[in-house]
Amino acid sequence: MSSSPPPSSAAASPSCPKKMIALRSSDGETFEIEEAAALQSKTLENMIDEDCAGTPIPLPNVTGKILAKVVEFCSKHAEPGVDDESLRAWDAEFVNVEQATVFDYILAANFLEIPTLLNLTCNVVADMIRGKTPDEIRKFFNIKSIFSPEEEEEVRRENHWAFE
Amino acid sequence: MSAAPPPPWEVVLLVSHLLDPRTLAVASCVCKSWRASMSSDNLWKPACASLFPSLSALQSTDPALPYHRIYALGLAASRCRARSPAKPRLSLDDLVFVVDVRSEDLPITTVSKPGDEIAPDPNGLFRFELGADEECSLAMEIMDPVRITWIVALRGWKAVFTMMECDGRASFIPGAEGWFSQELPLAGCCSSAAASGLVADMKLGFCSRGVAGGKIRVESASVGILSMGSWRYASMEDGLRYLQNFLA
Repeated sequence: MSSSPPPSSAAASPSCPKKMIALRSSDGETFEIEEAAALQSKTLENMIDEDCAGTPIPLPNVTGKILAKVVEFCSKHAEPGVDDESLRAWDAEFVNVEQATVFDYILAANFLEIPTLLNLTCNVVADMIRGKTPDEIRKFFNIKSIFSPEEEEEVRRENHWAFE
Repeated sequence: MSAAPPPPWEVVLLVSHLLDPRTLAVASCVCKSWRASMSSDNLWKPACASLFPSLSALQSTDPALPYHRIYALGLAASRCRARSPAKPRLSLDDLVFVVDVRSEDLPITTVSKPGDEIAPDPNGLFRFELGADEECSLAMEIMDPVRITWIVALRGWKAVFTMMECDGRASFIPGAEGWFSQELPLAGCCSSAAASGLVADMKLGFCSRGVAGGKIRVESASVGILSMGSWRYASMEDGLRYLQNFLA
């Protein structure tokens, strides 16, 4: 596999050996990702177009631990010939992780503009919120309510219809 | 559970776009920062536009009115409009119907029937056949002036309401009915100058059987409440609800 960048302004041809993009996480780890997989991220797509894909692309907002998983996600979703049902099952397993990790996935998917990952992960959290009372939500996410008693009353009154 | 850190505000913001109005409203009650994220106009505007498009006029009048409040207002307004009235507290058994017919101060006939002796209308309407005791009805001339009174009272004479008191003429033809009606007052909300749209209706049946000299007697009386808008009898429930205003 050639490691020298192609001539400027030439897009990688699909019939060539697969072009690998190098990414560097915030904590200095380097990962390689196939171009096809990288193109799932609009952020990376823009950077690749700008032909700065020679040196590893720095991603200061994403740690190595999360970036590894994001690369895994994008690679899976770029794989040809995977049927919808298997992909959905794979996705369900992918997000079967602890809360804090899902939040990290959301932030990474947002920063890297990966619509499929963002949608998947946000829906996981949305499902955690739907159907719960405010108290249940607080307990679930370990949130402290810092309303003053007057504010608490006001917000309850404004939204009383949602509790009927 | 574990002491996991709460979701970062960017996560809350991103997830809020997937939530339906009810969940957004519940989530607004979680904490201060969630309230801010979940009340954002751009989250509520689409729901308002699709469910309550006419209320966008409110936003033009007062740009400071947030869309989540417009949504709550729209929901409350549509529930109010759809609300059906409470079941009447009165029942036919609580009432006594009194019909009085007199001609030039001469009592012709008086019919008094307690509600539990009155057969309810098979179609659930507020109209009733009261019958009349022919034996007790005095004879009168055709076309004699008559004064008709219909009173509804609460059992035990706790309260009375005069449904109608009007003058007319006895029937033109023996065997035909005399028809009398009078507009009912509006109950409760508006001044008496406004029309209630309801009419007290009475039909008296006259006959000339067993009466000499071409005179007639009252042989039957039926009463009811008519709606002027549809010219149909009010339902039993509507009639009872109406009377509640004056008797209960």
